[in-house]
Amino acid sequence: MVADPLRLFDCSPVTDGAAAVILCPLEKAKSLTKKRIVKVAGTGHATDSIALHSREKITFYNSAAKSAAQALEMAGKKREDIHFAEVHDCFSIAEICVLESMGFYEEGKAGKAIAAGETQLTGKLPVNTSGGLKSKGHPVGATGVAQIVELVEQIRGEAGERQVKDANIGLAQNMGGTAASSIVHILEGC
Amino acid sequence: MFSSRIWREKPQRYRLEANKCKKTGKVFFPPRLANGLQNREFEKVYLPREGTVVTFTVIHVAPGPFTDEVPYAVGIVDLGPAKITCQIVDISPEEIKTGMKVRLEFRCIQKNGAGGVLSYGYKAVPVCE
Repeated sequence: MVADPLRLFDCSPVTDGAAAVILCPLEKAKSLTKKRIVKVAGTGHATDSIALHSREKITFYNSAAKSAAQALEMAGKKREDIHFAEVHDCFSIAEICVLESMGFYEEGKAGKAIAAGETQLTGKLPVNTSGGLKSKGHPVGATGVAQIVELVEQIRGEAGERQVKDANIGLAQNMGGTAASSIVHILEGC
Repeated sequence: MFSSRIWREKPQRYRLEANKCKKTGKVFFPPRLANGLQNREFEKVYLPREGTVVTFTVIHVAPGPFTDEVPYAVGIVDLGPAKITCQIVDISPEEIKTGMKVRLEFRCIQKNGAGGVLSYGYKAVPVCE
């Protein structure tokens, strides 16, 4: 037991790690690589109070809700258009709260859906194919970029055993300070 | 915690100083500088010292200065005008229940760094009825 009811495997190990991406204008990208180009279709960023006790609910992250809504609007996508997602599962409860806050599940439903396999590789919405923070490790500063790397590998079809079938639109949600700040990106293959 | 931070946070940690937005009446603890984009006028208020446990956890793996104290309970206490996060002490963790009445007491919180500078604040203790 770490902090009741979270046990050791509910908590992400803070590790060393590194990740990198190369960003450039879309037209330029086409002349630089023969690989499939992945574009940033939408992005959103929102904040909430630092203190959990100042929030109306401790299981609903306003920052995740707002940042996801912003990114979806910018990308012109609906939730059902998203093929797969990487979310900030620093603790197992965080993945549940984030999926509910972003509107992929009703409040109180995500935990059961995850247990039923809906977020597995072949499920309705594959989540954290990279292993997420809990299984892959949480190199705090590199975690968000590593999510983007996973999205790109999936969209390019380079994810090997982790490959989501026909993955073309992915969402990455990263947060800090117990969801005091949340950033969402939507990436799309072109 | 840096000693400069201990000094800076004395009003809230020692005296439970919160602030109340003059426009909306909402009380913030710790005090804030702005409530949304427009509201920046506040008045100082002191939080009451009695409240109820909203939720809590029992920590078994603790950060640095608290490693000798495990297992210990940390919870959110509703004081009425605002909620507060603190340790719940003087009771064994198994006996704590949500909705339980508690009182905040002035206690030593931790020793800081090699010099062992003490920092003080509040912890919740059960109210005997």
